[in-house]
Amino acid sequence: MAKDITYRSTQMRLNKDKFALFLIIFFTIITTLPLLLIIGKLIVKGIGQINLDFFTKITPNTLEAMVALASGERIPGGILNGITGSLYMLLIASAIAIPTGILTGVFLSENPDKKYSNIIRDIADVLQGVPSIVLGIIAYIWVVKNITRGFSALAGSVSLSIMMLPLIIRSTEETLKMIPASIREAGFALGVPYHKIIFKILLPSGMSGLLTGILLSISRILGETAPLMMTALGSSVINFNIAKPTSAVPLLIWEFYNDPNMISLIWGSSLFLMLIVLSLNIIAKRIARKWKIQ
Amino acid sequence: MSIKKEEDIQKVKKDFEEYSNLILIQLKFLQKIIKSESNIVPDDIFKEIKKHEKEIDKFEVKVSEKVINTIVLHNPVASELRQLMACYRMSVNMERIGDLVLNIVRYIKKIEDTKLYTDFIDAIDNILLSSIGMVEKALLSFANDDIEYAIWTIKNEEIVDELNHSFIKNVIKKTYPKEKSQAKLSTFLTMKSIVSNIERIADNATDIAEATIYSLEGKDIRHKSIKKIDKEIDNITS
Amino acid sequence: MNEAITEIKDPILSINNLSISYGTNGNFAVKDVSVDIKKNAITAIMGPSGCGKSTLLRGINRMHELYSNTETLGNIYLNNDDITKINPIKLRRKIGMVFQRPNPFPTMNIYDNVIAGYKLNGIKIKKTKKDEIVEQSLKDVALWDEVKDSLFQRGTFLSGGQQQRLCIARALAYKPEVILLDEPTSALDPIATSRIEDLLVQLKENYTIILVTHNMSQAARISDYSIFMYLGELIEYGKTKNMFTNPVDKRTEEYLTGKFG
Repeated sequence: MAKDITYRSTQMRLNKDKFALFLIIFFTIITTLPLLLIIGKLIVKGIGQINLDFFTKITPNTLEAMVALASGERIPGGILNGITGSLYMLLIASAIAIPTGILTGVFLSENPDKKYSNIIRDIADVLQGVPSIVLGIIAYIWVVKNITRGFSALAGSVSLSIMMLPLIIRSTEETLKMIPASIREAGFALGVPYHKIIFKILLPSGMSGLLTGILLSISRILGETAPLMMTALGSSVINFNIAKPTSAVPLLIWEFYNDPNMISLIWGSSLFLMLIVLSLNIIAKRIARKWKIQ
Repeated sequence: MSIKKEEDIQKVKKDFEEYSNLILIQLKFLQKIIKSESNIVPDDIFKEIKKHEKEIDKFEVKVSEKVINTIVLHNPVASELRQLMACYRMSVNMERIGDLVLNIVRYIKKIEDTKLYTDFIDAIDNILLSSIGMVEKALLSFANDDIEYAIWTIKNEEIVDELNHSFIKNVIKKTYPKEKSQAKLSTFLTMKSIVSNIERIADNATDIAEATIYSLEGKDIRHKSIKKIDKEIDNITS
Repeated sequence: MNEAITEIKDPILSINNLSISYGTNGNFAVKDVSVDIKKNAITAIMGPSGCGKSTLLRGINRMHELYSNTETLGNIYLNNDDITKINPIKLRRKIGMVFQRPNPFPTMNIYDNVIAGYKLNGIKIKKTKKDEIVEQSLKDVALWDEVKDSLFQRGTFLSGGQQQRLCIARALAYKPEVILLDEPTSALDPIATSRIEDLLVQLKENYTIILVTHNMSQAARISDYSIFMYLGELIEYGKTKNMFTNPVDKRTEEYLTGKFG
């Protein structure tokens, strides 16, 4: 009798286990399914558009596209102007945000309890939450209206850099906090001055964390469209003049979408953008895992 | 702070106390025999003394072993170490006192000229009293952490030495060269041995007192001249 | 200078009425400590937790100044030079320090770790001289044979005891006169501890060693002189063998026999 009961209750527990497992797998599939479907659709529809021209030619204008559509040919051109524009603005934004972000992160980790530190941390958190289009407006007022008097790559870069800052500051601070205090003490005991301890010991030790933060912030801004619409505006040519408008991949996707002749081009560019962002994320995670400090 | 260490040290001291009491009991027996002024030692008392002697030997081994074990296991330092080392030293001295008591009793049984013996019994009793006093005070000084008694014991050694010398002089005066009987000579030698042994009891009491001073003050005053000991004692008491 | 207390002639370090406080509430972690340190000997500083021994140690190479709001009274002389008048960076060249947790620099290989003092301070020396220093320092800590084939790997594969010896080598490479060690073996297993203790006894021939330890048996095993501190004050100082057999102060006696701490 007793054996029967225990057998039954054990069976019940095993069944509950299996059911729970089933639920977990089910919901995991539901969550990941959209991502897989998106990637799947992008690949199916966009892979055909990615060829050498894609990377080497600038966008066609709407007339060329119409002609190609009418004659059943492939739409000519590529997104070189978008790629160069994105890269260019990325470089400038990084040049602004990375040093500032890292130094701020260093300051916060070295002075964790001062009043200023808490204020700066709060500001960084607020910035993180500001809608990107609002940052675009701010950059519009600061740069487009007052500095370059017109849409420009600089304005785009400024708005992007503001978006990068909170991530870099946070990851720098957290990384440096994780470095044991004894490493710093060892540096001091050898008579190393404070600034050298930061730049020659602490930052190199935290390099993995810093890189992760930088890569993640880059992957974030690569896909931003709204702020660029009112700052960089877009351009049909390759532009390296900081004071003039420039294109970017997400901007191009928006333009393609709005032009009935070029709408089919959205797939290739979206696929490209998605792959870049995914790769950056994966690389960032790989670095974080490999270089973890014991 | 270490319970085991405290317990083990207490065990050593407890054994040492029992051991001390046994020695004092033996000395009391000896005193009784001397006071009886007879060279006949009743059998039952002799048996008791021999029985205690066996226990004393056992105690010496027991206390030494316990001291060594405590040191090995607990690594004591400072006053705890000194106490243990003092117990170790003193248990050797006490075993010797036990031996000496048995020797004296055996010598008493060998006395041939009882008259000579009773003539000098008072002097012998006197020296014995002093020596026993020294042993009692020395052991008491350790048990009570009282340095005054230890100092008294050390200073009293001189007195017993004096008594020893004058005893021998007196006996010689009385026996030599008037009569040359065999019994008298052998009795004289026996009495000298008895008194020497009593004096050695006093020596061991002094050693015990010196060990107590080491335990309490950390100063080792063995083998120092009287003058230097006096100086050390003055340093301690000032 | 404190001959009355220590009977040491020509001490290498002389600490006079040193008081150190952290923070604004005026609590002094070290109160009016005066003692001399003998050259080429091992001096142990011991006492219960919170007695100020680590603070005292850090006061010697002015590491306590890294915390804000410290107040220091009194002075310390290294070979008759007031250490507050020496540049802290120069001071730390003469006084090296080893910490409780082994802390080799994680991004540098073993070779670079040993000469980190020179490298990080931008001191240029010829490669041959560098090689010499690295080899000699690693030999001094009995680590050379174990690592000579992996000098250019990061030190993370070393055991705790080996890492600590690497840190000692790093301090030695800088050729200090005094080495300060703050509980250097409390994070290590007994065998590693024993090797480091042997190492310190060998090193005292050429260096003056000051060692903070919460393990009084360690102090008894290797130190020549001992300092006992309690609640920030220097309670007793003397030759180790005397202090352990016959301490003068009642508090020292109680600490040694385990009544507190």
